[in-house]
Amino acid sequence: MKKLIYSSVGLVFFFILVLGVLYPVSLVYMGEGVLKAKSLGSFIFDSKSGKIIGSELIGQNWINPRYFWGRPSINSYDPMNSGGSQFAPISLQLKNQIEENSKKYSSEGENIPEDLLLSSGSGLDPHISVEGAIFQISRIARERKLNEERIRLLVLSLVEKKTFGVLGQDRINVLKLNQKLDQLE
Amino acid sequence: MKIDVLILWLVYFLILSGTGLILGKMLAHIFKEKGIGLEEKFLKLIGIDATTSMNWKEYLSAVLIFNLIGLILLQLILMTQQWHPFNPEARSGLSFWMAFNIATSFVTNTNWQNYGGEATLSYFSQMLGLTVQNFLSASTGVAVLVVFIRSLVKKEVTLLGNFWSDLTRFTVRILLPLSFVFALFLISQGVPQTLKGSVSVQTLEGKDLKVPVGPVASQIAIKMNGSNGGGFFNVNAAHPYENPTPVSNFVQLISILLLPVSCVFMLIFMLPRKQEGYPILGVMTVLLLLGVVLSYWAQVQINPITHMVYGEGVDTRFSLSECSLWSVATTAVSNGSVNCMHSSMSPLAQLVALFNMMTGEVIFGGVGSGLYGMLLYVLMTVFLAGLMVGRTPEYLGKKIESKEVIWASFALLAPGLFNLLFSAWALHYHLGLASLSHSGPHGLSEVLYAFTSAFGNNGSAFAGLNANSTFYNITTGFAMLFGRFAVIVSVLIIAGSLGPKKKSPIGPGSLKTDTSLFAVLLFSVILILGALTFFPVLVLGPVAEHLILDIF
Repeated sequence: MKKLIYSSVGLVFFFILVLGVLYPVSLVYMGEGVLKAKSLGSFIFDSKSGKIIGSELIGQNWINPRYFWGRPSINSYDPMNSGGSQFAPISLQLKNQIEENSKKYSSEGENIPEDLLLSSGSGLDPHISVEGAIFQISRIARERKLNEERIRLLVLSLVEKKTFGVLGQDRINVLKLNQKLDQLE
Repeated sequence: MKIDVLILWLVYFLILSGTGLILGKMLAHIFKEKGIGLEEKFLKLIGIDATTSMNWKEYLSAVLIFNLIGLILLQLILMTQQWHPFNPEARSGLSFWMAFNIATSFVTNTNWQNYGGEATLSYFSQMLGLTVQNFLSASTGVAVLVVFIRSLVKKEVTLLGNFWSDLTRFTVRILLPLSFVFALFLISQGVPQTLKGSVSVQTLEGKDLKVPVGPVASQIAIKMNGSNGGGFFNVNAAHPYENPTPVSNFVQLISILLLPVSCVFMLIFMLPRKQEGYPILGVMTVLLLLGVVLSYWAQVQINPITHMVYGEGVDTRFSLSECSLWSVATTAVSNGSVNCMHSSMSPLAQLVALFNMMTGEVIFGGVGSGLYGMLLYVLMTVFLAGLMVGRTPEYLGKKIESKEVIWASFALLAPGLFNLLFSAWALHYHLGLASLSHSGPHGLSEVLYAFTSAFGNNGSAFAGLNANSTFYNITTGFAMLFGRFAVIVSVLIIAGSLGPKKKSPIGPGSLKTDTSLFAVLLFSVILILGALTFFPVLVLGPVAEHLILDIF
């Protein structure tokens, strides 16, 4: 019995050293050495001031009508509190939430793309669908007094296609799009 | 059906069978190998005897004590995290029951999350606590499986192997290198791996944000490989930092099933006659494919209430087919990670997820644990078939007698029985009901899913349920312990009883266990034992939800 306890404790501490310290820390060094930007969190810097304006992978709660808006998030894109709505398909909350979300776009026409009405799983979705971006072009053009065609070209140039034509969905990164949008003016 | 979904499935299952075959062969080699390897020599240096073979009682004691010490240590780490290094966000220690729930969750390979990692845990807890137990719980499962297989294939053995050696070999030779390479791949996709604290951001709209990062990739790699499923962040593999691209999603999908599939191939390579393993592989594959097809079909329908797709809770970079494939894989295997919100899926897709867990997670199942669960079903099938024809049942030449049948029935039925009792209790008790976020059938599903996930050591959830209450922390904590160790104890008792038996030669009267007839029997036993236990409650939960949709 004593031997068993000694062996267990010894082995647990050995593995804590190897798996809990050496394994992750060596990966930190390799990651930051070879793939520094990604290892640190894929942050995007402002081209002029050099300040961090967000992460490519973490969606933001865009509210200014001059910018493209992201998908609804149940946590208002709080990075410290990721999560989805968990609404069941039959729940009234889901129905009410969709109606609430559609009010935001009520002045922009019918047939709002579904991804702009359904909230994401992570609450931090950095992307919207291509249709979701195209739908918002007229508002942006009006607010910024820009030619719609210029914005459309920008949108189309930033489409991320399905990988190998099979994996994922066509999408657009909202932060990258909005950063480029500011540079248009 | 769209052609790209078929391509996705085809490529997915081809890669899985290929890599599973290769890894399975390596596994069989690792555990067959005679003599003293590097691991044993090293363990001897630190005073651990990894060469003397153990009988079932010694092996069981080693498993239990090793896990108990891991549990206590993890609990202590979580309760005292304010004093540790690697804590840039100054997270404070957790309360006793919250820490108890997390510790049991990770030691039992469940990885149920009652916490949001980004807002609760220090890097010290994530690395030295959770990451370590992610490895060790997976290795424990494989060690128990290997002992079970040895007791079946060897004749007249009482000494079944050395736990320290089995555990260390699997961890060091398979899990660690696999996870290391996988973590590097994940970093290349955008999963962070850093010890720096959260990053301050000023958005283009002028708002200030704090974005949490951390040593994520190293933990996600083993979380996926070891059928663990406990994420670094609250929302698990739906979080863009855990699963940033469609490619990372696909490779993680493979890693969910990789080692569980390899374990089945390992069994095939360890058996004296490979054909004996084919019915097991066949039944698992059929059950998995049925789930994949049904879940996909349900998930791409239009919700008649909202007139929209089931896209609530799905991030834009994933497609609905990847979402349903993940939900089937993660519940078939006791992984429990999620890339979209199960609670918002189509009711029939929810049903598939629940059904997979309710079989006892034997559709490939957890690393090690899935196959030993399936072997219990095999023993039951052999016994029932023996009853039908009136002969002493035998499996691989070993007589199956009352002791084996009693413990196999206990391991297969007790978790399900307690699951129903706990769910019924929670639904009648105000502290149980207080955590619900839905009324009606989905509220029932939330509670049922929680206990099914806990007893099955899965770890996925209908996360509308607020599981971080003292009531659920205690009940699901004990459920996880029971679901894990009641089965492990039963398996090792059976192994101890089967090992010393003679191998009787196959005669004209023996039940053949390498035929498709046997596979059909096994399939039926799983359905009858595993699923019919839960039929009434499934009708009240997801089936009712589906029927309500039909009214519209």
